[in-house]
Amino acid sequence: MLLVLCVFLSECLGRWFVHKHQSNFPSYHILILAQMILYPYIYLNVLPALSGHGKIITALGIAGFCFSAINSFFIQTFYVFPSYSILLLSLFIVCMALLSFYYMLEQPEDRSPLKAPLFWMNFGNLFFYCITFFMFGFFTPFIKRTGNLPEWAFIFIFAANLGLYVCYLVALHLEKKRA
Amino acid sequence: MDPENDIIVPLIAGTVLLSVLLIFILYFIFLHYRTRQKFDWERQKFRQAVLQTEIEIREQTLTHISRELHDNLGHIASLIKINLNLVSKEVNAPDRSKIDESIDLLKHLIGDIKSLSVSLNSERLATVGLLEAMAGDITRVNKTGQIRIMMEVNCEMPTLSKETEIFLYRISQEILNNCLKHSGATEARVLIDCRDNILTLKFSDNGSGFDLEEKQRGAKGSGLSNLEKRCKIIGAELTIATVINAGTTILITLPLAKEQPNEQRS
Repeated sequence: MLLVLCVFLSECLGRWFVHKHQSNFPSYHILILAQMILYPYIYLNVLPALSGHGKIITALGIAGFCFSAINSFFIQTFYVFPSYSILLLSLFIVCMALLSFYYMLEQPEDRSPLKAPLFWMNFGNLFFYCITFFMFGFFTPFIKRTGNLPEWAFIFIFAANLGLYVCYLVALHLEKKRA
Repeated sequence: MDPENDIIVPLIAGTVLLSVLLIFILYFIFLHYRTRQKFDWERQKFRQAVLQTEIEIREQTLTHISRELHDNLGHIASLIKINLNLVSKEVNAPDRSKIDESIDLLKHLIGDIKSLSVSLNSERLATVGLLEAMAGDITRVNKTGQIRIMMEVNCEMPTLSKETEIFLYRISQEILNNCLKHSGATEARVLIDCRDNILTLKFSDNGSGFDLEEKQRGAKGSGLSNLEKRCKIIGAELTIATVINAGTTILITLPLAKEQPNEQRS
């Protein structure tokens, strides 16, 4: 819920930045910094089995936060799209999702995985961040050549975002039902 | 790169990526299902082992109580009877009648101790077998005059393992005890049948019946739950049919194919 709220605020902030500065890139920088802290926190909370790796996950989160901050201030500054930070975040989240899947297999619950909020959260993350990872890797030469992504790539990103938030919605719904 | 390739290559790569992701998720669900099954099986095995240990401990305790009743209390009661017999010869007639009355009561007590000791001791099963032990219990219950239980055996008793016999014996004791304590029945029937490699034990009474759903919702340590657990351990199926004010029928079916050959009875 905290993460969804954070994303919503960042979207609002993005609109405001577009209105004031003709670019929503600064809001991405801020959102990634928040996500670098939020994701390790969420994963450590939803899957107690991960607490065995608590120190490593926290350290990776802090390192990711520091790198993103350095990137935002010194490398890809606030008015440049933070692709390095997003790549790092994607890599971190894909690893966390795979690790969570592994622990879900190690300690299976009594019910079907389709009824577990963590499954949907991981599925959404894996789906969205795999696509993000792929997009950045695939379109880098594209952007270098034409300066921008083709039109349909934005539809692709929009669909991936939609998929991610639908999965989050299912996870929140299941969590509420369980509570 | 021409514009057509601009779309086709990412489209193929994207499809491959999504397919891999989909296969991964499907494989995960399959693996999760298998792991869960394995876990369930192990959990069930563990529960059964705990339950079996619990029952073994209970059997040992009952055997101990049975021996104490027979060797200690029974012995003391016998000594009292001997003493009273000696005393009765030395006292005058009015007192003697009181002593004789006490001796009769004592005889009754000794008989009760003996039969209680016998019903608690599962070691006796190994000697007399399930049918005789059950018949002994039924005779004891019939002696109370509260209920008349008839036992009918329609087949030659198959060879059961010692463990299964103990379980069936305790189950029958629990059912008879419940019938005596709660049903208010005046007549009951125990039918033992063996057809198509299935041993059937049917207990029916003309008592007050009960609300089965309510009982099943009730405490987990109830007699009904104990019956279910015991049946499950030996691989038997328990079916209860009851109507309020129209009696109860309890059916236990045990597939004999699962049974291991019995060790020689001593």
